[in-house]
Amino acid sequence: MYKKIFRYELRRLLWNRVFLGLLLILLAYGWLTLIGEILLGVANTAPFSPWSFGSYCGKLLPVICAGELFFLTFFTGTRECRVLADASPVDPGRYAAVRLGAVLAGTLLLSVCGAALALGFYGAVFGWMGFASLAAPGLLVLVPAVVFCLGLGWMLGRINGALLYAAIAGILLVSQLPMPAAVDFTLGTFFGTFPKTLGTMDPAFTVPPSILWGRVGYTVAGGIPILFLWRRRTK
Amino acid sequence: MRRLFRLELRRLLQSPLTWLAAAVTLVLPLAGYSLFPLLSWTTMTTIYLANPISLGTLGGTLAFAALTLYELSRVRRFRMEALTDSAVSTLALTVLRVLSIIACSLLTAVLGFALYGPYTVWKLDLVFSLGDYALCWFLVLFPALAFGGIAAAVCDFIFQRADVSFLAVTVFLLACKVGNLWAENPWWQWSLIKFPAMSDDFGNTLLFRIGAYSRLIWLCLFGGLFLLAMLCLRRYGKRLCGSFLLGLRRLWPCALAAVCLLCGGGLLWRNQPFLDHTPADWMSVEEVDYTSEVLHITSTVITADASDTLLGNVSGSAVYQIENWSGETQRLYFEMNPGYTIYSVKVNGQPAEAMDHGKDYIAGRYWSCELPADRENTVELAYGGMPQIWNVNGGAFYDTVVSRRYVDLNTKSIAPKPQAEILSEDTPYSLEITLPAGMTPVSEGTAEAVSTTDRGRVWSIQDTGRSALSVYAADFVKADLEGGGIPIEFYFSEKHREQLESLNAVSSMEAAVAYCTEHYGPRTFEQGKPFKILQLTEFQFGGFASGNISATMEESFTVENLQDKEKGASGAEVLAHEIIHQWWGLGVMLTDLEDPYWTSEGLTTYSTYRLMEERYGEDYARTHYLEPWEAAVEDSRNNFYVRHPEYLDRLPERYRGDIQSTIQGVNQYSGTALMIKRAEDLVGGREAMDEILSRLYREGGTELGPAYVTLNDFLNACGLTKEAVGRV
Repeated sequence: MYKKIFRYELRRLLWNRVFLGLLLILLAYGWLTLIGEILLGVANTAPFSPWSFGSYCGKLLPVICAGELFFLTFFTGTRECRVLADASPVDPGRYAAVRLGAVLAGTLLLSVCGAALALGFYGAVFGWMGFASLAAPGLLVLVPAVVFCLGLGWMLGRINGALLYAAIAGILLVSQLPMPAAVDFTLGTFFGTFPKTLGTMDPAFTVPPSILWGRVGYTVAGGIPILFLWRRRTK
Repeated sequence: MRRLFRLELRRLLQSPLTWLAAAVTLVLPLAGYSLFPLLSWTTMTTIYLANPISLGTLGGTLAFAALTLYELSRVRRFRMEALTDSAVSTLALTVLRVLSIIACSLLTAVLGFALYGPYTVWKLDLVFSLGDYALCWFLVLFPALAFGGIAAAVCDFIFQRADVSFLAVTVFLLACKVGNLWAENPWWQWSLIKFPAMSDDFGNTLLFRIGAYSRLIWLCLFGGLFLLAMLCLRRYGKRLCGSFLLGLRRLWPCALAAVCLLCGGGLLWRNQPFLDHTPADWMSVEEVDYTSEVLHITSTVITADASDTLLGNVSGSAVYQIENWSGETQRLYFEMNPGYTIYSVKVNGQPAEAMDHGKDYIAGRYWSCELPADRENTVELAYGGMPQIWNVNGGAFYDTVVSRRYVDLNTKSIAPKPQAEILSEDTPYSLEITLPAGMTPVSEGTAEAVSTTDRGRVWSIQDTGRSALSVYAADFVKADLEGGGIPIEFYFSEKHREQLESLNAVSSMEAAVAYCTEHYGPRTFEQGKPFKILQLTEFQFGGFASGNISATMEESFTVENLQDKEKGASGAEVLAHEIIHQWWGLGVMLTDLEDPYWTSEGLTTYSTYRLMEERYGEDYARTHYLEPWEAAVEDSRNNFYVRHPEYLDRLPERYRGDIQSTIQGVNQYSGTALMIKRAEDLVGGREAMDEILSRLYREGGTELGPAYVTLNDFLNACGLTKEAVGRV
């Protein structure tokens, strides 16, 4: 039954004009970022280096996170028939997990489309196909931020749906603010400056512990509300 | 009808798609700031107003076209014609829908005006103009959205297919914006008006005048097309032609109005008063020199009125004393702005006939009259009109203008310029010109305010040895720069007074003048007159030097330029850099056909460094100049494409150009300055380099002529090779 609910929620999320609009905006923004900034190469590395790709993912991150928070508004709006849903014979915790799963899947799809655009660009322009090396920077940027926004959004949405719009504005603002590298939401500073400190040209992708801890922090900060709320709903 | 309109508007405002169209229009300007700027000029108003508005206008046009098509096809899509037709006439409903969409586009513009206002005020700061800001939203953006809706409605009435109609509007928009056929013509720009740049300090009156005129043309054309297309609305199951004929019979006043509007638009287009009619292949036109060797001007007295800031008209009278040395009747030619007409000519007090030769060429046109065989002749002319600008590149050079904030009248636009020799260097020239109050004129001669009238302030400008002069007037503030042993007057907009005072810029500029005069030689200009450096409008597109006037563009004064570390460590040092361009760039031009990095920027940057070294010591110069140069060059050398040029070759040409210009920027400034510094070490130090540069400045180069200095000229003067200075 939950599989069915998941499919239903996912279709509700993806098969509408908002998702298509978001996807178009993401791809247009991604394309402009690729030809405007990433093409030059980040920190004197190749445009298709893990550093440049990580920077590209960081640039897309605010749009992806805004999309994720927007998806969450689908489940917190006034049109939601909570009474009916609450009256149905489903476990609230699992039902919440299914909805979170649908939001995650939608966000994942947005991220994959953004990444695929870059990979296609690398292949078409440079004839470069070593995509495996780009997984690490992509995951480093996206996973913690997506989990953080999911937890934050879920928590805020339970309080008041309108707070999700404030969260979208907050995420867009935080992405533009200069932050210390370890807590930089988009990791723009890290990708832009760290390779130059390594003393070699085209350095291999490495992550200093401070950055790792920062990303763990974001993941935990997003994960705790989800676990907490899920457990409470289950009880 | 009013009730129906309110109902329709309310319905539209409750539709998410209306808000989506508004959101697209209002979000796109964000991308215009830095992500996708359409204009490359760097005044603050271009960056923070023109670029965002341009992108919002283009995107908004398509968004509102799509919205219109969606709304117009609703009834058709859901096959509800029978129901709606029984309640209200299709024609009325369609007109109301389009009107409601126009109202929504106005609301979008109001929303954008309010949303972007605070940020624009903050960024533009002292150069913010509420008038320009409002015109950008309500003359540039709003009509484009409305026209997008009307164009879509016209297509929908004809095709009855939303997809085909949207495609038609998109193709029409692109055809007018891209390509050589229409893109350069401002009258084809029905969506985004011709927007070459925006001025910070001297207003954008001509740009908006042309924009408003273009809007009027398209209002007539779209109005006519809309009325005509309404006749195509399908009736009684008939197809296009049948419905049109039926509509024609029933709505013939509509058809009549449509024809009137279309003709009106066409006439407005054909008789536009702003651009001259220079032929498109103007380069191949052989210019005729009408200057007579037997006619000599012995005095010129002009009275001109340039105080009409509403339409920008100029009127005046000119009295020329002319000696005819031939003993025969002669034809005297005048060159004048093609927007002007000579109303009357009197020769020696007798009315004469003025002949219009009718061929425009670079904002000029020849007129002539006959002079008798008498030796002494007095020619009196009365003339006037709206000055026209050169039509090349769609009249992008919006520099000849009379407006509330700026008056720019060149030699052909002040008065008819007689094509005769000046008798001597002492031949008097007198101009009495009425300018809008609050303006200070700058010209080759000496200006003095003589009186104030209800039209403005009358200025008397006196000079000798010329048959014409140019006048630039704005809220200029004069600063006398000393230090070069020659009087230098620096005129800049009042808006920058505080900024320049806080930067102590005059002291830096004086130091630059003194340094360059001492080390390279005095700036060459007409002897006996003060040298005038002007801050002029961006629409001149590059500085110029003419006689005793040298112009520097207003972008030198923008906050972003003053923070450009490649030019100088502080705003005052950047201005010193701009002043040094009077020697390197305007005094002598540095260029090389083989080396794109050898430009005036490198030597100007090096001279700025030397000046700062002299003023603040070696440590300061090393920290703020040499070390940043080395870092920038090192960074450029490490650039991925420099290390792997094979990848650069794989890129499409437009991307390659972007990357090369990024690398070029570093090499033009820091790279070349560092190379000259290396040459300085090799030729024996600062004094030896100063001697070489002084010789190059005074004598110029040999490879391309004395006005230019190439890299080879420089290396030959130093006795060095490219390898020795690391330029390989």
